[in-house]
Amino acid sequence: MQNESKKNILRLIKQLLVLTIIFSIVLTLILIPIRFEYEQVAPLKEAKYHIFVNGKITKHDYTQVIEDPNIVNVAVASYGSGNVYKGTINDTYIETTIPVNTVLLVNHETLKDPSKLDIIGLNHFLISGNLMSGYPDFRYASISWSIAKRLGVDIGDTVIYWVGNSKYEYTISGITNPTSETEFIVEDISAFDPIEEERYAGNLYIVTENKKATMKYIQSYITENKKDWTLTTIEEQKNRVSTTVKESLPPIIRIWFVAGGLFLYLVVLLREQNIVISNKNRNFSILTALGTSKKELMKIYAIEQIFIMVTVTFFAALVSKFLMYQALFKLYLPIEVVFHGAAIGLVLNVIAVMVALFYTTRKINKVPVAELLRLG
Amino acid sequence: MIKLQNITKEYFNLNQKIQAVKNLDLIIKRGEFIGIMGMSGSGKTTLVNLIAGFDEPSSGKVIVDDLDIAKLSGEQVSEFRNKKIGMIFQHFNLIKEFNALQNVIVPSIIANKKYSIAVERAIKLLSQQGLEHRLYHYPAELSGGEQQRVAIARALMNDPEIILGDEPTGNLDKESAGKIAEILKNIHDNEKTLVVISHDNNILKSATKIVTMEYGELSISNVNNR
Repeated sequence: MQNESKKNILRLIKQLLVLTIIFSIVLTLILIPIRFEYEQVAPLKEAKYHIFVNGKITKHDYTQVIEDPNIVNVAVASYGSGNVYKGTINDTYIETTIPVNTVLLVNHETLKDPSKLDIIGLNHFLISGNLMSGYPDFRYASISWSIAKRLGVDIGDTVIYWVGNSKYEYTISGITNPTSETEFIVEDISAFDPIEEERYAGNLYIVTENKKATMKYIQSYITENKKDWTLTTIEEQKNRVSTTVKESLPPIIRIWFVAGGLFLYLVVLLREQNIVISNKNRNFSILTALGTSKKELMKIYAIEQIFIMVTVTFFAALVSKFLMYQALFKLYLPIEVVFHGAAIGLVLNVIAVMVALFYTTRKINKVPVAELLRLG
Repeated sequence: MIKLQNITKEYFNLNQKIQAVKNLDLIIKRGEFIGIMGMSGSGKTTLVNLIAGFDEPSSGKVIVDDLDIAKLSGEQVSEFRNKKIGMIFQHFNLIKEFNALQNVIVPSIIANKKYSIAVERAIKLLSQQGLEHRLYHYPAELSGGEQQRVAIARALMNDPEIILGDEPTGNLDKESAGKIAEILKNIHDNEKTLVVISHDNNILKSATKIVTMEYGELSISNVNNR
């Protein structure tokens, strides 16, 4: 029996796997046009600035900004060396890929909290007071504005810091808020992927909770350095891409996306049902001979299919969100499988399973019970 | 009592009408043991299928204990089969994924009987078949004779009045076939009605009546005074 049970479990796993893969593709296919429509009707969210600066970022005289008497709580740090963003945070558009030479607005409080920094992959360490020894190979540091002013140093300069007999050499990569209690922001670059470092080198990161000051800083930076730039929001970018793709796909094509996706799923589902029923024919016949009605058989079968449906929807939503989404994101397609995506998936799966069960009822009714029992 | 009244069963094969059973009349009294013989394709299995409610006659009536099988709904036929009929097949037809005990319990589960009582009865029936040491063995781990004994225990699980058999020893060696024949005789001694297709003399010699099917027609060839 162990063999039979193992075979059955393997069959079930195979069925779940096939259906999950196909359904996740279908879900993604179906959600593309739905997402287009969604993007069209969704109101624009509050703009999150996302500024593309063309050309390599160079160091800039921050004093232009902080000399303004109206700007009290500004924190500005421009990092000469770049970093790789690996996650997302809500208040800023930081996703898996950040184009080179991007100016990002990161909440000041975010940078103060190392756990959030871990989320965005910056790997910064905030140190108050004396620099502790024992940190390996720190080569870059952001220093506070007051220290920078006192030392008379600027971004790109090298400072040597002594702790006891130990000598630490840093390249100043940023200047921080003059009112901040933070003396140092030390950036651990030891874990940087060299390729990624190269790719993101030259990014400019601005840390502030004062958008006005930041905008002024950016304006100053761009004007002084004669940069070409584009001010936009991520929603605008998404809409632009969405509209472009939508225009390239007329409605009939989008309908075919949905219909084709469902058809593909149904074909695979029915094929799987056929295999399952073929495997179960013998047991169906035995159970019929022992007094199980067709209705009861269908009930047992339907429960199994509902279990499969729920499992497939769950895993397909995950695959869609975390694999297909990632893959498509690289193409910059605005697809997200969120709750409404999973709900759409469930409804579609219910429809597909209903059709399949209707088909199965016919198949089960046609099982040649007497013949199968005679042949064993 | 089983009454087959003027039964005809026709079916079509490649657009050709075939009469598997022709105008057959047969009365099987309670407690009788009917052995059915006949060539391949003579209609023996069709006859048993009609009694079990797997098939409906093209004309005529199958009446079991005053129930006209053709007039029952699908659900009622299933209930009838579960409670009144026990079936034994040539190829045993055990559920491969279940062990001997689980296989025997299935009819009780279908009948919604209490599980603990079902287990108790199943163990008792398997013990009667000399299989108390095989309760948790799966069909693939049992010999043909043992599998058939499990199938017989399963057939007796709901204490049906009628036992139908289709070549129950057809797949067994002589020794195992002898044991099965003995078991069937014991079942008959316990006042069950048996209708068994067989060409095995060990079985047929226990039958109270032997009928022969030939081209869908029936003739009584022997009556044993048991």
